[in-house]
Amino acid sequence: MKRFSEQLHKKSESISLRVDEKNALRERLVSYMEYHPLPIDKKVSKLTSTPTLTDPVVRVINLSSLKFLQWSGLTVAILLLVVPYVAERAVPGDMLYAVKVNFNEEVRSTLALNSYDKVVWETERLNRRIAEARLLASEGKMTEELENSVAEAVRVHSENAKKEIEELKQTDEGEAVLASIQLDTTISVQSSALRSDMQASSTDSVMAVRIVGVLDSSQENNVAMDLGNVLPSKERLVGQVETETTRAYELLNSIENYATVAERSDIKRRLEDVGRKTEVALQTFEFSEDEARKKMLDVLHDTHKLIVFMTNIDVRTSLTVDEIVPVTLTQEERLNAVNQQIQDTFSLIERIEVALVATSSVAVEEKIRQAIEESKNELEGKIVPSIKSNNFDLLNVENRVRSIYDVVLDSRSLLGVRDSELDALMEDSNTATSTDSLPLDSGTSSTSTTTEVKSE
Amino acid sequence: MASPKRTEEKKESHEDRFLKAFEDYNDALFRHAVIRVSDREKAIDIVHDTFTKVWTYIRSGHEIDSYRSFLYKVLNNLIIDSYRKQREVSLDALFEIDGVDEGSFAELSENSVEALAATIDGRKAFELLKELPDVYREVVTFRFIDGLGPKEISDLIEETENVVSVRLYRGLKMLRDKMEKEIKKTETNRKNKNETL
Repeated sequence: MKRFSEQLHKKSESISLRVDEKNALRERLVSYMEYHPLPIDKKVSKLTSTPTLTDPVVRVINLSSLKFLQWSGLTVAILLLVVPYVAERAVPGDMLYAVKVNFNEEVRSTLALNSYDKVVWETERLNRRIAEARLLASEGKMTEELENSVAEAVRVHSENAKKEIEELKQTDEGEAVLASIQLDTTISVQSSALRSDMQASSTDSVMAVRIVGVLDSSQENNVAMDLGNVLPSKERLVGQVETETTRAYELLNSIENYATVAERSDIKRRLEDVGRKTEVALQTFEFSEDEARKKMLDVLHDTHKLIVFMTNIDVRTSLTVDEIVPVTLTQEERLNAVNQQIQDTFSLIERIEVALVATSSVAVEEKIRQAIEESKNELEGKIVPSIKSNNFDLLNVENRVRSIYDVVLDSRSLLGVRDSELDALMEDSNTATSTDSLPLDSGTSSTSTTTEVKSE
Repeated sequence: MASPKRTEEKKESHEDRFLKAFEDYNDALFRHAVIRVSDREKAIDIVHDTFTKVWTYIRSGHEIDSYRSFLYKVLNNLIIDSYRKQREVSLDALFEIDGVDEGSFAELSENSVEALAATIDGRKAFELLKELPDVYREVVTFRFIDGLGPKEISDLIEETENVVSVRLYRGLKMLRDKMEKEIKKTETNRKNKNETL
């Protein structure tokens, strides 16, 4: 049988697939497999002999996979959430500072969709760099290399903001003016704060000098100079003022726990001033459009300076609000100030008259008496009655009273007597006057004072 | 990190095992099919269909322990299907020419089969194989060309081992008779030729 089987088998071997037939058959089969792949969930289970959880190999693999997933998830969470959050506190020289500047801030830059927003963000970055420099200097960590990098960063952010303003100028000059206010006021406030620091201390003066140099250079080349004659529309100005003042009030509320009572009071007073200036500007629109727009721009400058002041704690320690935005007096306050100056003028005249008795120069005496007489006549005959009758131009009255006071001061200078000497002469003369008891808070009281002074 | 890689290797091994089975058995299956259907192109198609059906079977979630016997099983079913479709003769005529009776004791003995095979020239038998009814050609091919045992053949054709043995015996006997007839015919022709001369 073996022989039969071998012979038969050997003979049958003459029947076989040719190479090309085999290749073609294989290709057809592989194509079929590709178009009919195994289901994913079937792939493993069919080959392995039903793995169970008790199988050590399977258990080890599953645990490894779990750990891998856990570690992967943790790593991703750290990279995406924790690292950027921690990096926000980094300063130049820290390991994560690059993440802060090159990742966090660049990502945020992409959120600024238009040129105005980009200017705002670049200005904010400029503020950040200066704050970092101040922190390093206060901790004694500032090196020459860091000074260079901070100064360069300030310059770059300033230039970036200018480029955006320049682009904006090509399409919308009004918007460019509003954007330039953001940069101008920031540079102005930061520069003032750094100058104040330079005067107060010499420890970080080198850093301050370099940054101030960069800021000054930036301000000199400011594109806003080319926008001097451009005035945004009324609607845009009003809208911007509303936005900025709302933000300023929100900031005021937010710093309640950080700022002193005096600071909060000062800021609140400036914001009230801003409100009054805005009202005046809106009233001005009725008779002078351009004048009103300029006033609105002033309002925006003041408001943004206050915002910079509130958002930068270092600026608050270096400057007072008054140095950034001086108080704007109300009508009543201005009137009170005028009355006070009138009272001061009469008081000074009285003391000079007493002192004149002791002077030996007739020419000087005559000259001073003439000046005093003319001053008294104008005050008693024109200014005080006009205030009393409530028929006056406050600005004109302020200017006149100020000039009269200056003349009286000149008279005292001509007499060559100091205040302390005048006081001594007043006591010696035993000429009791009631001037001190005459408050001049109003036009009425001012008139009574004038009468008493005149009687003396 | 090693775990996913090892899992991937296991996923790949399904395809690898299937393609390895193709490399191992494509020639044998083709040979079997050619002998059974006597058509080379048809045999190629049957082999192709055999593998695609097996792949579909795997895809449906089944597991194959032995590719060899399973491939032969599918191949055999496809060959029978091809008979059903294309042959005009009835299946009875095909498969039951000699019936499926239990057979005599001599037919049921493996020794008898071996003894009978020893008397046959395999090379000549191969030429006459195509003249056998398919029921005999099937078992003779499985047994002497594909090298399957009686048990495997019985599983494939879903008959008892006795039936397999009977068919083997009768198939071989039929081959020997054919060969003897061929010899007698040749001798008769030679005698007639000599007488003519």
